[in-house]
Amino acid sequence: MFLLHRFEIVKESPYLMALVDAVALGIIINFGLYFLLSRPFNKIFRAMDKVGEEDFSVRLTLKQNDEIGQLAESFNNMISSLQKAEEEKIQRNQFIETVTQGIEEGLMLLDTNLKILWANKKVIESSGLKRDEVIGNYCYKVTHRRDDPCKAPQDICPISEVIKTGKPVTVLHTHFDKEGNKFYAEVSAYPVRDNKGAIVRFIHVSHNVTERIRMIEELKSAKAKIEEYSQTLEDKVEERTKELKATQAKLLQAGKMAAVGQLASGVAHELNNPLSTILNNAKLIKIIIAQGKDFNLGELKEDAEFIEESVSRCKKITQSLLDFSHVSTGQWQSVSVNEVIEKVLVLVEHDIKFKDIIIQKDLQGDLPRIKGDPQLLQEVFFNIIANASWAIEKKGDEKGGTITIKSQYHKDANSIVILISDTGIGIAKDNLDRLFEAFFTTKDVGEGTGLGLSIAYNIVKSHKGTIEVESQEHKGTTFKITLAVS
Amino acid sequence: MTGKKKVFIADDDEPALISLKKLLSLSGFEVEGTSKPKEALAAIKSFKPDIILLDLLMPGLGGLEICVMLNEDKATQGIPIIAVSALGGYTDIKKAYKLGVVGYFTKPYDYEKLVEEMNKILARKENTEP
Repeated sequence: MFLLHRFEIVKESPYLMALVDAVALGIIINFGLYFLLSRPFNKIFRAMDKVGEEDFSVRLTLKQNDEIGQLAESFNNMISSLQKAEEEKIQRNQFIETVTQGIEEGLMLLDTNLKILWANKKVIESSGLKRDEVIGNYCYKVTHRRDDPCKAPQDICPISEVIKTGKPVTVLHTHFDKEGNKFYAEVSAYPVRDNKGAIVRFIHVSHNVTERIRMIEELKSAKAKIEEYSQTLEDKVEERTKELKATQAKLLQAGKMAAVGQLASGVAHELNNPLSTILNNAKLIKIIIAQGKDFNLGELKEDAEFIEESVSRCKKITQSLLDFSHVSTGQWQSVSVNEVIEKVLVLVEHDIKFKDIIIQKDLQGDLPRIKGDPQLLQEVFFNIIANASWAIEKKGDEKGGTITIKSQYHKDANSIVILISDTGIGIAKDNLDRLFEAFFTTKDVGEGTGLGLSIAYNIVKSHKGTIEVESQEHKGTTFKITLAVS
Repeated sequence: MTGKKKVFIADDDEPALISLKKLLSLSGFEVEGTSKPKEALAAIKSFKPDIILLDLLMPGLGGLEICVMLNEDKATQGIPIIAVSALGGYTDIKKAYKLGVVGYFTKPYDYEKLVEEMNKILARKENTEP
């Protein structure tokens, strides 16, 4: 139709015909441009609007192989990347949210004016306020319920400290919960800097440490109590030790005095016999001189010598007794073990003689000296010999018995061994373990205190020595004392 | 008194025995003695003393045991015994008197008093003997 009409118009006017052609061409071009350019671009603009609205699901479907088709494909790729980045961002935010909201610590982001820019769930919950009452509020109002910033010395403001030092700071604060209950919070503040390094924000982390503080306080209190108790205990132990030492010293002396008492009859005999001899010989000399005739000078000399000898005997026994009953000074000195044994024998030999007991001595002559307390060591030998004498008497053998005393130096061990054996009743196996126990005795009342061997054991122990015993019932007992040569 | 009175001394302490023997000899006694208690009984039986001075504390055989033996033996029964002992306790003295001693002297004793006592005992004995 149009072409026919054109033909008719062209027929009428060639100019008109040219104009019609031009218009027709324009229309054709316009249509061409609409299909080729305007429609795809509109699609692109709409898609971009959607992306602007954060809809990253939009995609362009232009089946064109020209530049516009390529543009659409690039657009789709870009949107896919954006979508992926957005998803990752959401995931990351969710993760941060999970962490910051899930932790027991209160987290806040503060500005330099101590205003809260952000706070986690813990801060909101603990404050008892609504989120919008917390955000934008001052940290001291929310956590401390006070109108002014924290000040030293009660509560040091960690933010001020971070500003001062430029470094993270941790302080202990008293906070209040929504019910107004006081609790202890360990507060750490960290600086957040801008690109130029200036501090622009602060991360404020608070953790309820009330339980920990309470435990520390309890521990401190318990420690103080323990220290106090320990001190009291130490005082008590010291006091008791002093008492025990005093009692032990008294006991030692009492034991010694009891032993002296046991010796009394023997000592009396030992002293009274020479005294009697002295007196009689003096009388004798007086009579001989009084008679004034035919006196034998040799006889007089013999009488005088008897007096001298008797005085020496008296002196020996009194000296031994004095030595024995002397309270130990606790001073150690160089001691000859043989001398100690001999002194003890002076004291006991008379008593022993009356029980028909023979003393056999086998004391090594060149015995090295040891370091010790001679008074105490005398008591050791006295108690063992007195026990041996008792054991022989108890056995009731008409022939009496024998006490053998040996001293030997053992070069390999650099020690002195003293063996004291008797042929007495022996010790029952059951009693051997308890032999050195204080107050343990099988003797009848009045025969012994049960202290002798216990004292001997403790004295030997205090001399870093050992005391051993071997016994056979009805055959006898041997005590072995080993003392180190220092 | 007829002749020297015989005294026997048993004392294990040798110097004491010797000095007493000398003193008693000077005082006019015929004296014998031993320091070995186990030999005492035989020596007494052989010597036949008028009086015995007996030490109570002696090893092996004590004075009190000898006392019992002397009292039991017909040959020695009735010989007055004076105990001479270093022990002077009440119990010791009582025990000795129970066993028949007629005098008790605690060492160191006064020699004159001992002789005085011996003479008294001997005089008493003489008076009572037929």
